[in-house]
Amino acid sequence: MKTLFEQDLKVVNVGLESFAANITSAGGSVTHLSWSPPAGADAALGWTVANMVDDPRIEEANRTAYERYLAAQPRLIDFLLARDAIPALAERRILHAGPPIAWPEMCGPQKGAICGAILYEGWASSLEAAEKLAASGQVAMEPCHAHGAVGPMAGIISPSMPVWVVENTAAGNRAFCNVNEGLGKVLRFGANSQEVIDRLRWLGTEFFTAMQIAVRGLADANLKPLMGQALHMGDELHNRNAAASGLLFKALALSLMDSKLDSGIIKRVLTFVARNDHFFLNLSMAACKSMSDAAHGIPGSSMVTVMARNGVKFGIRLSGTGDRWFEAPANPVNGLYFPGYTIEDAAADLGDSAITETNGLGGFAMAASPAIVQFVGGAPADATENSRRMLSITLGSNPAFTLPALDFGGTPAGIDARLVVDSGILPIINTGIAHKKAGVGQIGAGITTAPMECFNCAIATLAETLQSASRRAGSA
Amino acid sequence: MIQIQALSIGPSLNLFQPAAGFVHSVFDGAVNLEICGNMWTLLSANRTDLPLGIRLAVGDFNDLGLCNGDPVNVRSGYFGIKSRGRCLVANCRAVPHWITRYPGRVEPGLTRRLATVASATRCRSWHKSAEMAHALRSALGASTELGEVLAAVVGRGPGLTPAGDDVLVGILAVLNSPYSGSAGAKIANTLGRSILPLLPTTTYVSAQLLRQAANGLFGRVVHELLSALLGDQSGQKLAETVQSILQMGATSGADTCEGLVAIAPMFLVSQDTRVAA
Amino acid sequence: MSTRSRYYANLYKDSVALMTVSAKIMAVPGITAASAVMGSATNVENLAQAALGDFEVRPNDLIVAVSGAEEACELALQVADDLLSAKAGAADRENASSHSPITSIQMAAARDPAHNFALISVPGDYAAAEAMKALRLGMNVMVFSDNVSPTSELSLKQYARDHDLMVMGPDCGTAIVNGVPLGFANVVRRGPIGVVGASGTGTQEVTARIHQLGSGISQALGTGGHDLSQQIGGISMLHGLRALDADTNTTVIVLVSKPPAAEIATRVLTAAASCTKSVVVIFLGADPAEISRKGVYGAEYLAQAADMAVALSKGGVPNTEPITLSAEVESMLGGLARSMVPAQRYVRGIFSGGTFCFEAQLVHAAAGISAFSNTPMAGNRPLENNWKSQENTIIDMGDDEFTQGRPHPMIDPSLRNERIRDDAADPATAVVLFDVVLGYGSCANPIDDLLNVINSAKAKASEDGRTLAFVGHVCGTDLDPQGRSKVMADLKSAGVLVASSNAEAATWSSAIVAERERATS
Repeated sequence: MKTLFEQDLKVVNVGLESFAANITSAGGSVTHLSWSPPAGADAALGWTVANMVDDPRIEEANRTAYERYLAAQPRLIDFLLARDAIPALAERRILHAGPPIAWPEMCGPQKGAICGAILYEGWASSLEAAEKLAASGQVAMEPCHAHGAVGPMAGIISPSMPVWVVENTAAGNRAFCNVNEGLGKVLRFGANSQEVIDRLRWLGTEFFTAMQIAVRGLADANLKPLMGQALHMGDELHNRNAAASGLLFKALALSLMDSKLDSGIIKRVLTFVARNDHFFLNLSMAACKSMSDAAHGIPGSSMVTVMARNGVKFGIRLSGTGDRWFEAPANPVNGLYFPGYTIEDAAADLGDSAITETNGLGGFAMAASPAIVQFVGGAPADATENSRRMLSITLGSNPAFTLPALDFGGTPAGIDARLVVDSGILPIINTGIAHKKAGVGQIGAGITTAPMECFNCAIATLAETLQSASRRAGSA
Repeated sequence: MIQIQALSIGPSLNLFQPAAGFVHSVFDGAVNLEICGNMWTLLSANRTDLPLGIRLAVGDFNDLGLCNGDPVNVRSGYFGIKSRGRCLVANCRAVPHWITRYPGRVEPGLTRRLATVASATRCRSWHKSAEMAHALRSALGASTELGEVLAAVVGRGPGLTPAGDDVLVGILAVLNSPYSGSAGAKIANTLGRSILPLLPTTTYVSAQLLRQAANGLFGRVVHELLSALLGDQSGQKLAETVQSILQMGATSGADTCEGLVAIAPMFLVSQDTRVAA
Repeated sequence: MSTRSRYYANLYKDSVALMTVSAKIMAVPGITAASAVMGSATNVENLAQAALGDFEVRPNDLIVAVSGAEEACELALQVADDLLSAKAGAADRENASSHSPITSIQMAAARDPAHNFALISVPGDYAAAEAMKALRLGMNVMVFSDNVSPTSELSLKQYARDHDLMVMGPDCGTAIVNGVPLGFANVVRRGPIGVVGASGTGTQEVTARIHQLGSGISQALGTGGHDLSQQIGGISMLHGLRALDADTNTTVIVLVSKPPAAEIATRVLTAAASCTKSVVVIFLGADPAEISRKGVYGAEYLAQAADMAVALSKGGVPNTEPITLSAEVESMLGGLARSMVPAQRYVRGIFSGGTFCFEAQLVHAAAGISAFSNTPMAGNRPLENNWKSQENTIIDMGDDEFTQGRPHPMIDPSLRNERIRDDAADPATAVVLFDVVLGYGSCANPIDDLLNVINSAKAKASEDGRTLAFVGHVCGTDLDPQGRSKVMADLKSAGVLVASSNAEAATWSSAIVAERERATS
């Protein structure tokens, strides 16, 4: 305390505002907090979180996890059928977006998409039979995340679907994502009509063969620099992917030109890519998955490595708590609906695409791509403010993804769950809104936040793991 | 509040211990801070890391408008500088600490590699540096002369870090390296202690760096040079590192190499040709 | 007659703000009941019991509930709405201008690592966690909040001790650090005397007196009311003592408290004796002779501790004489007492400062006068009904019973003034004894209403043929926002006998009571 007497007093006032006003009147220096009880007003959890502040074990673990995340170099190394990339898909298994969920609880779009996949695989020949098969339990249904994969919206990956294979060359881990089918009636919004199945078949045959050659022939397959460049061109790589899709199109086109493929095939493949301004989203997601997987699995780390939704629950994972999911009902989306649709029509938040926000992109990079704030009646300055505010809950900023609007500072990256619980600031997510009925498609877009309960549970569990670790160490 | 991005931190720095100080001196590529009796250095993005250094995503520190005497505060992994009414803050909580890995053993060809370094250094160092390095080498054998020789070396020569000090840093680096053996460690100790009383005879900045060296703390480029010297059989990495270090200051890097090259043969020996030092 | 309510999701307001809203909507004509509270389980239950509605909300949601005439309810809810959505205060504006609001101590440190102190006044349930975070961020802490568990307090203080930090509190109302007033504190010039106090108003009396004597304070550190208990062991007092001993700007140290647990007292006094500087110790109610030892000087009452410290700081000898009344004062008090009617016999001490209430009891007891109290010292008895004085009564109007859902009397003296009015009207009352506490945190106009009460009471007494004695003291300085001289002058003009300290006021009061006893026996 003696050193305090030699310094200028600078007070943080937590509570009655009059105390801060008095200090100022008396000529002192004070910051008054806009405080409300943290940890959802759970005093016991608040005490637990308080004791995790500047805990050397957690800080050390976070430093390791964050370093691995920063060092990650995602590279598009291949394009394979899912069953050849993911061993578990050798069996009758379908992967879905979000935390684990049983068939009866699934939302409309996800059920519709699974049925579509069953039809595509040929495991049933009618929609009715497909539904019966899905309900029978004979087809295993697991989260994409359980197998190093991610999928947008319904996020369905079945054995015969082609997937991007992205490898983090710094550590060797791989991540996978399916191909973006485009807009309108597509599987990821739950559509399963013949048109959808036919398109899937084409993707799994002609498109697959050609694209595999293209990927293997890419001159430069490093995704991080491409993503960094796209951020300077108006993308945020979750809801805005047009620039990145364009950059990718250039690279794929050149690679395809060098191949011996028939020009008709090349034309069909490139036309398919060119028509879809969200084509890169699935690669963005796979790249992000490979980066946060690199940071996952460090005991004691409070860094968030997964944020995902299944249309019913929002789930997160921390680096230090292994494969445990921490789930809660998703928060409502603040946004605009396309003409003719209202909030009554909306499905709950859906998809693995929040892996982008987990990595400092999407809503966290909103400063790069302010258009979405118009959906919530905001101005570009609000978009920049949103990005800046996320700096309060992250371990740092990623120098590979700089935002001109933040004076070329890096995007806020590496969510620290302790900071979320303590500050009350929730990770912000730019998201599309799907119709709750299978197959209708996107009906709006806007901004939502990850629910606090996920972080409360995660932190409580992390605290327990640290306690039992020190008990074990003490008795060893 | 202005956010500055931190890129790497010296392994000896702990920003979770509250501390306060002020800006000592401002240069284009570096800012020296006086913190509780130690000199920390802020480095621009492409400068080489230092043991008490924080490398920032900054191009030129003059753009930040820092002044000597600006108050600096360190708390909970953040450091902040109050300058012209603004607070510049860097979040260093999870920033990686830099570290140099040394090879598992001394690769054959050490003598040849030393010769490479020596010849590259010769034309770049201050003209008296080799002389000082040799004088020190002799004096390390007969410690009665050491004090006299040191007095003539410390603070001598041109530069913000006088050439004599740079030579001493090169010598200390070899003595403190993982392969100098117990003899090297002992002499490092003696040399370090003998330097301390002479620190007031040189510049503040050089005295601080010399004190760090006396305590076994060296810049990243020095570690990398030693590591390449010991283990880079192809010579490629060694050549790159030599280039980097020779570009430091006007003669600073080269003077450091003079000290290193003069002492290395005595202490850095392969396992099979051990010579009692 | 209807009941209406509105709730605001995730809107947090502190207790003072909520009481202000409740008071304003209660004042709307036609409203019979009104409440603005956070949605904690207890509050929701209370609202149900008060028939203001059943609510299913979360603890961070805010509820406004009113009952009364239909239109009144509508208006009241509108008033509440306006108050709750008021623009950010000045303190917030400064932060909001550059970035989003700062919601946690860690965010404050991240914005500016120069933050080195946290002042915490949130509800007791959350105060310990906020304090622990501040400590772990390397800050010293003052916890104004009360109702923090002893276990939490111990954890905090052990952590602080291990990291050379100090926890001032919980239940610490007063501190002055580096010349900055924290909580309820007086404006006192800087000087060579350092104070460590377990009592807020005790610290205020000592520091204000030191200023009045022309000297000044280097630091005034609080320890909170439970620091000297057996369980806590005086961790903060010992830390403060050592810090002041090492402080180059401090030459004399004063320790202020009620008597600690025996073992803790020994620990503290031993530490005091080993200090390089002189230490004055006022353990109110303990025998100074048992406290004094080499380098340690026991005082008997608060003002005396200040006098002794000032003397020591000038290299002089501290005076340990009890308060003596000059012949003039004695004769004035005697005359006043003898002019009262036979029914008038008792003192009614109505205090806003708990320590002043305690010291007053001690002074009266030393004069052989026992009293009833809501916080009785050993030898005094508890009141049957705290809201009704009986015989000699000396009460602390800042105690929990009087502050449920109400501001403390130092902030809002209305309840205390009402009690003075009631007791003044009682024919059995001879002397009304009270304190006026100035400084930051205290009411801006502490005696406006009180002067009216006193004037009416005197007039009424006069009608009834009684002479009432009003005795008081003003704890504060001329540098305080309220200005001590002016307050004292206004009181004197209203016929109040204004003493220079709480102990002196109590001495005057006991002289009057003693004289009344003689007169009626």
